[in-house]
Amino acid sequence: MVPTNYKKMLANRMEQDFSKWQIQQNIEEREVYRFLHTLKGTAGTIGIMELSEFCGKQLEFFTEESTALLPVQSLKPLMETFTDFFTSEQPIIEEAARSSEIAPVKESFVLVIDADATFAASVKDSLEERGISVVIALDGKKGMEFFYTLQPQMVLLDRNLPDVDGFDLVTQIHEAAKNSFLPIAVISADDRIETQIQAMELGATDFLAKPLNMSFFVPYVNNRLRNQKEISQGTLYDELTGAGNRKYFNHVLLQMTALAEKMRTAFTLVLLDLDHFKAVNDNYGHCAGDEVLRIFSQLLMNTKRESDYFFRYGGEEFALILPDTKAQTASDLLDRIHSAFAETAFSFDDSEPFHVSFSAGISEYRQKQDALVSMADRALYQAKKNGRNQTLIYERAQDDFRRHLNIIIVDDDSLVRKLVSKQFSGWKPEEFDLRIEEYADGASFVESEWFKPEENYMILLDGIMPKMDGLEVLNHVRNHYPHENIIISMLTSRNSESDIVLALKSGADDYIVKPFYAQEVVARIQRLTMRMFK
Amino acid sequence: MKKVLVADDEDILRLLIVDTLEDDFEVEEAEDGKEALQKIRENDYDLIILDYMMPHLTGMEVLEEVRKDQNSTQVLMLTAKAQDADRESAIQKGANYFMSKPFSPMELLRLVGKITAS
Repeated sequence: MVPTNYKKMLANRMEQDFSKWQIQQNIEEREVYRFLHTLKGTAGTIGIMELSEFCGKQLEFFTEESTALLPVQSLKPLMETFTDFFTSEQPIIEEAARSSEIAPVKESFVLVIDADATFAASVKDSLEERGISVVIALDGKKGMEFFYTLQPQMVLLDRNLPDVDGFDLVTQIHEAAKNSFLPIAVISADDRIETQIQAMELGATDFLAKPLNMSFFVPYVNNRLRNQKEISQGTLYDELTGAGNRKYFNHVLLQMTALAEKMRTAFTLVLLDLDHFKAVNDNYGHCAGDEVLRIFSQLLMNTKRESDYFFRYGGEEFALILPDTKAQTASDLLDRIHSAFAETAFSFDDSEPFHVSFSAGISEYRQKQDALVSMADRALYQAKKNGRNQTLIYERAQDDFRRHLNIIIVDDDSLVRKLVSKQFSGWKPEEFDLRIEEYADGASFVESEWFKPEENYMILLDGIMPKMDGLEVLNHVRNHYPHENIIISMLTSRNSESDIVLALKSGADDYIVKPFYAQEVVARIQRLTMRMFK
Repeated sequence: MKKVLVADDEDILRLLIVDTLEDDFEVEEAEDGKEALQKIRENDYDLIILDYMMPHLTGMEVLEEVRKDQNSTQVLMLTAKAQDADRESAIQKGANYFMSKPFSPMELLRLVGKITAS
């Protein structure tokens, strides 16, 4: 399973303590002291420095040995502050927990698009202290790429960008995320009222002037993320395509499974994925990509039977759930859809008409079979491997074909390598076969034969190493290997903003500040890889 | 493999320490001072990690009792208050190393490695 979540354990125990307090009227002062004292040590050690420091400050108000009785009512504000520390760590909803195999990775990403790396790094710093993950793009192009691949829950952007006008991005992002109420905040040193008005008119939800007041900023982001989460949990349909969303999918799948088990009926799951969709985005732009997704969805919704369910599973991946249907019947339906879609020609901005195809994998429910999604996924993967534009039914023999995810740690500090790989060793993703490799320096990594074009890679790269430093390795990888299968995250030390800028400009997707907590790094990497390699 | 006892009544922290050390050491746990002392008397540890404040017997009291029996086992005290006065009396009572809370697990692993190597 996932590495031990100490934070969650701490939050749970705190809640237990608080509920004990609340049934009493009064509490001895020394008990509050002990509570704060313990929390200070534990929180700091598991990596929540801010909470630890806060406890340290609060301790000054209480006396260690005092048996004075404090009314619990008077501690309410303090208790609420503590509870707030953990609100960004929303508990996983029960439904997702039960079907962990298909549960999407739910935590939030905030995307910061800003050419000022020092500023972006400080935003990342203060938000990540509170458990909110931040990804940085230093220009508009990378920003849009992250916007589409990571599907962030909030976007913060500066108007001044090296390659495009930030306001054009506001328009594009607003258009793409229309009706999903994505918070888009423009952050700018130019805080003239005309600029603010324009930002609002283009679809930004907020305007914040630089320099930021951090004591306001963190609660502000929390507030927006909470709203966003509530809204997105309230809906069942994907805004862009009108297909059911992932949440609805999980719900229907659970329902169908329960029904099938009880009534001994069959049903079939189909996973569909557009072929070479990235090329559509690259060649014709993301707006064209969105249009393809819309038209594809329209076709599916018109072709499927009334009782069938259709979902956008994520990105360019879709799903069908077909009640009372055998795999072969599903395959016939898919054949019709293949030929109808093949007749659909697309053209954007007077481009030559072009066609898009899709691949699909089918798995049929039989008694007691909980890996339905991963079976359909394997069949889909096999269909891709066989040359795309086809549908395959899952068969047991296909079990040989699994996608590979390689986690490569290049760091001269053996302790870092060990802690990180140890944390990863407990991770057993359904979608991938995981392999962890360690290299003690850049040169031995570069000289090894680590790359296979069919596989996916997540490389953790230490910035400073003997022989060949991290930046050289980064440049080497970006210049010699394809981009799409390889995610690179740099391990850098605090206060080395120039290193961070260089790393991001040289093609790193992400960076992690040392010293770090292995379990947090692993959780972050899991989320990045699951989103980018889905 | 070197044998280490971790005595801390704070279970989340104890679990974190065990998780951090268990690859390289044989780790045993004690939930309070009394259990710690009993285990120390029954086993031969290379290192004892003692929390300063524990119910039943505090870390200091455990340390005192241990040193009445023997001087060979290394003792690392976890202190929340990094106060010199506390450290001084702990040193007089026979503590060998200190680490103040909060600490980074990596730091602890390094220190434990160093202590047990010597």
